[in-house]
Amino acid sequence: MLVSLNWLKDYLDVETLPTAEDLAHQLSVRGGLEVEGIEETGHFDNVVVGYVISKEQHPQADRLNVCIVEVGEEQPLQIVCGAPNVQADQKVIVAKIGAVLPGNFKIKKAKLRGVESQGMICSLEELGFDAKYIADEFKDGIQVLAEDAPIGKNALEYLHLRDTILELSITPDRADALSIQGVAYEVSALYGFDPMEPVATYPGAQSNQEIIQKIELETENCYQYLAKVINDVQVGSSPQFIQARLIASGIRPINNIVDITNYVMLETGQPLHAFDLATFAQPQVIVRQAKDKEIIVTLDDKTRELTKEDIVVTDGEKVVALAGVMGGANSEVTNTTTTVLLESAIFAATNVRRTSNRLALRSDSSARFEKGLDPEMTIQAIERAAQLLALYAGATPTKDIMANIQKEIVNPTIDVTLTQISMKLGVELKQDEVETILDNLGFEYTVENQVFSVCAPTRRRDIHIVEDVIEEIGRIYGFDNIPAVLPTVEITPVQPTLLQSLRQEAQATLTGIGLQQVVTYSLTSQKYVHTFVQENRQLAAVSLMMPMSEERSFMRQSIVPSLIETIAYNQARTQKNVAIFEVSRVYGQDESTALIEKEHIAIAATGQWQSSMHEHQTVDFYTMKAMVEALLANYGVLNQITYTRSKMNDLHPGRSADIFLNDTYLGMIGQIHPQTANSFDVDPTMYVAEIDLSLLSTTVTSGMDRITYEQVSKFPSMTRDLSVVVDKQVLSQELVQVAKAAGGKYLIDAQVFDVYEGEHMETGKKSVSISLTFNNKEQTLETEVIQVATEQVLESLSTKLSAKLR
Amino acid sequence: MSEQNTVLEQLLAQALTEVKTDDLKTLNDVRVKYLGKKGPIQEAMKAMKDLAPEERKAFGQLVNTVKSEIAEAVEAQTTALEQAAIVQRLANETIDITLPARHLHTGGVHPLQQVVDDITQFFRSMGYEAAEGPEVETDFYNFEMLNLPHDHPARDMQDSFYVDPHRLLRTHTSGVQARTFEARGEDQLPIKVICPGKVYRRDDDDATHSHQFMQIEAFIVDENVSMANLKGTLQALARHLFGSDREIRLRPSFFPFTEPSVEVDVSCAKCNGTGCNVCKQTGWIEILGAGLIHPNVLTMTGFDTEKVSGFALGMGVERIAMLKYGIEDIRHFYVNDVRFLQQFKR
Repeated sequence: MLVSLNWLKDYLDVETLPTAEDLAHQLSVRGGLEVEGIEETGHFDNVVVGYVISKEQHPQADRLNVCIVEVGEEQPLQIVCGAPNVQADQKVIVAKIGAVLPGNFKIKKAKLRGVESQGMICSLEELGFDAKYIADEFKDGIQVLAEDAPIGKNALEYLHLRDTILELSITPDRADALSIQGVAYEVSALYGFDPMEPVATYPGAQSNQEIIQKIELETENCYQYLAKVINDVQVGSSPQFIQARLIASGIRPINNIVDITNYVMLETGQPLHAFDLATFAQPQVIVRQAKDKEIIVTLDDKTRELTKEDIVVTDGEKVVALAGVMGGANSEVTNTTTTVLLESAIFAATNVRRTSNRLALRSDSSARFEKGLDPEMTIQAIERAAQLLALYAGATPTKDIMANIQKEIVNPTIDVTLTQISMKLGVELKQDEVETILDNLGFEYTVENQVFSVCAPTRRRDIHIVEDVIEEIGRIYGFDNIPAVLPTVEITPVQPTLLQSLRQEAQATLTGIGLQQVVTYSLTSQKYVHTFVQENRQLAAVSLMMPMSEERSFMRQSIVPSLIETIAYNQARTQKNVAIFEVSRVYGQDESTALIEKEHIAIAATGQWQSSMHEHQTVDFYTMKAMVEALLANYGVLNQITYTRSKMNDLHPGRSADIFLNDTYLGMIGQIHPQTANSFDVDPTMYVAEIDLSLLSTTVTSGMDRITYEQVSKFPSMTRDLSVVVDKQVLSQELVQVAKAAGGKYLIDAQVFDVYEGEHMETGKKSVSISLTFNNKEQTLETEVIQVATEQVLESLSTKLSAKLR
Repeated sequence: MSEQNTVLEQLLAQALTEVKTDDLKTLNDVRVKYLGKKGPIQEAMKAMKDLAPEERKAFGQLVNTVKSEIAEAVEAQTTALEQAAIVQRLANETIDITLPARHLHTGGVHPLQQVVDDITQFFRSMGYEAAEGPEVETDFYNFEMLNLPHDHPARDMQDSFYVDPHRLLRTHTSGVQARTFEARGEDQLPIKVICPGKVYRRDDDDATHSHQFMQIEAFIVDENVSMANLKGTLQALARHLFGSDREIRLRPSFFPFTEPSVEVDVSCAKCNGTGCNVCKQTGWIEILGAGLIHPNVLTMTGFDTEKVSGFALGMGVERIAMLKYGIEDIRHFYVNDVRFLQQFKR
């Protein structure tokens, strides 16, 4: 909402307005009408009305003219002008020497192709006004003023274009502020000014009863319909002050009839519509719901197909307007119109909103209907329009109004106590303070035993409950005047949930070992929704009904695709070594379409890892395994983890593993499959892992409880190393498991420390070296005991895995 | 007698010369040559018995002096040579201490997560517990229970990502309010909750809009919660985030789920409120929306608004991070350029 301060002042009983800055501050901080900008228009000095005495062709240039212009000074000015429409005997806008135009354009004495020029004849565009506001006849040249324009007067003041405009952002509840008058009421409340409530007077003739047959409301969605006939209309241009105020409000002037309906709408907030009554089959108005597939050609010459939700205005035979949204082309006011039927009505907000949404037809009028109108403004608006039409369109209005009102809108009376006000605001208010605020707001009230019975004026359609009244009192009192006091409440200990703790620990561990956390989008494309999810674990996809793009249409079930894309993005920017992780949700639905949201941790890495000039390490399967195990070790579950070869299609079959926590699938690690890499258009030397954090949160114990203390043995440990030859396919994990099972109670650890395949090794075989560590907490171990245990291990390896001592 | 003395003195002079060798082995040979069992000192000791008793004492003293002087010289030279050898070895071991370190590279927490963690921690310190709700939410919890009835303009399908007619990607974290109120009920007061999470809106991604973003909501329900309490909490939060000398300003606004509703500005940290390009010359920067919880929201979950009241505040995590660090484009958070992210390592 753009508010011209020239216009606003008409509605306030004050000598001078507060400064624009002060108004902006008060409206924002106490008014609830946020001022987003202050614009000064037409604030130029040395720009005056001039009279072109003569025009001569420039001796050196075909397109330039040399004009002698009277500007009310001793000597007329000689001005070189390039506008095609400049003529002798015109009143024009002259920027004299010393004027500073937009873009810091300083007017100086100049020579144009040898001829001296003492100023510039201007168009409005050169004075900072948007071309859309300029009348067609002046579009390609200078602005020509009316014959009676006073020579030498500041041209922008003469045109009423010297103004200051506040740009207000109006929240949906404050429809009352969508008018100059409404903003004036708010300013009055803030400053304690008296608002002006003008009464429109004009000489009226004839009664509408003699002209309009009837107004029928066949739908409950038209609450009231007021009509008034205006005779002898002369269509022409509007007076300059109306044009200027429309321009200030961002509306292009058209002709006096259209301009006056717009002007009154901006002034009162009540949209009006003007029909050419001669186009009506009968002088009558029937408002009804449209029929399905009914057709109307709107003012913009577009054919619209209607539904039963739309409201239409008809003359009994044909549809003449799409109520609240746009008039029909068949009843449009034209240059030959002489009799106008003015409409001032209230249509149901919901219907107007649906219609304008569906047809993408948004207008200043529909925006006001959608937010709700003041039922008491319909009369004032139609009378004001009649007054202006009488003054500026030579019209003879009828002396009365024909109305059909089927729904009265009244505001409730709300009881609120002084205690309630003070408790909710947290500050002690006195009765007379509240009374002053309510007076300034223009609210009706009675007060008895500190109970206020408050009724807001009908323009305030947002005041329904006690809290609404308290908000009004609070904001006018000033939130600045309310103290800042932390709540005093009972103290209760707060604990993060286990999932929250695990998430924090993952963040600490993974960043600690060198991974960078990323946050990527949850929405992905259909082709990636099940990528990196094992076939037997894929859930039904969650997809959007109306996605904005195919790329973001499905909720992801694995984080890994996003990480691959992130690495690709970085590689394209010469970042070759990237190691990242994300903790995020994945989404799917089960058979009953119940939504499942689980939290995953995913890791992806490529290139060099912790490498420098001193040594190089390329990311491989074991790097990724180290990262995953760092995390699982932190959670205290590493000893419950086993690996099996993964069958996931998107992973390298020989370099990938499924991770199991006891017997439950926890996630995977692996190199991405070359074909998958292809589909992402990335290099396949990329390793990924993903684990189910939600699952972990059901088994892991929290923080300090994970730890069980054991006394450190006083007796030395002994180690024995074994090298055995086994089939290549045997996993080292199996050797360790067998060794641990067979090693007896003093075997405390078994670790693979070397694997050898190649020369001197039978085909299909490999040599694996295992280190066995023994300890007895009671006494020093005897060599024979260790010998026996080692032999048992060997024997078990031999029987179970056909291992031979090397 | 004096002839013998002269020999000894010559011997000493010669030995002291020979001791000045650079080689430890040569030095040892010198030591054996003069001080060994068959050496001249030993010989002189043996010869002493042939001397007259009155000469013996003086001569003995002389021999001892010569012996200890040679021994000391050898000892000193040994120490000097060993010392020189160590110095030499260390010199040979010298490295270029300005070469780059080995990599013990640590990662970083994403800036959005840092803001979430920081604000969560701040509220936890005041006894708020962190709650999380589903991201795919029913329109019942996302809208209906927040005083946004069916025909409310904000429920337009155009503005949200619906997955079916009744479920959508949550447009705010406020759905957690109703879920918490239902779960807790009026007999478990006070309710103090902080809820960080991802939210989604049907916006085209550009420098200031993102179809996915993060929000943090905090709310409290108890007896006699007032605007003053809200203001106190907001002031503490603003000072925690932007510095202890920051001021806040509450402007009346509108949200369906709060009444009164306010937008909260914090005094510009760059210009201290005098006006600069960051705050668009106003001295204030809008950081979040808040208000007293609308009685309809409380009533719908069975609370008696005569007895209890509450406040709620909600902020965009991206906005806070952008303000704090002067980040110019919201998309930086989601494309994850590591050169961007690693600036937030600490």
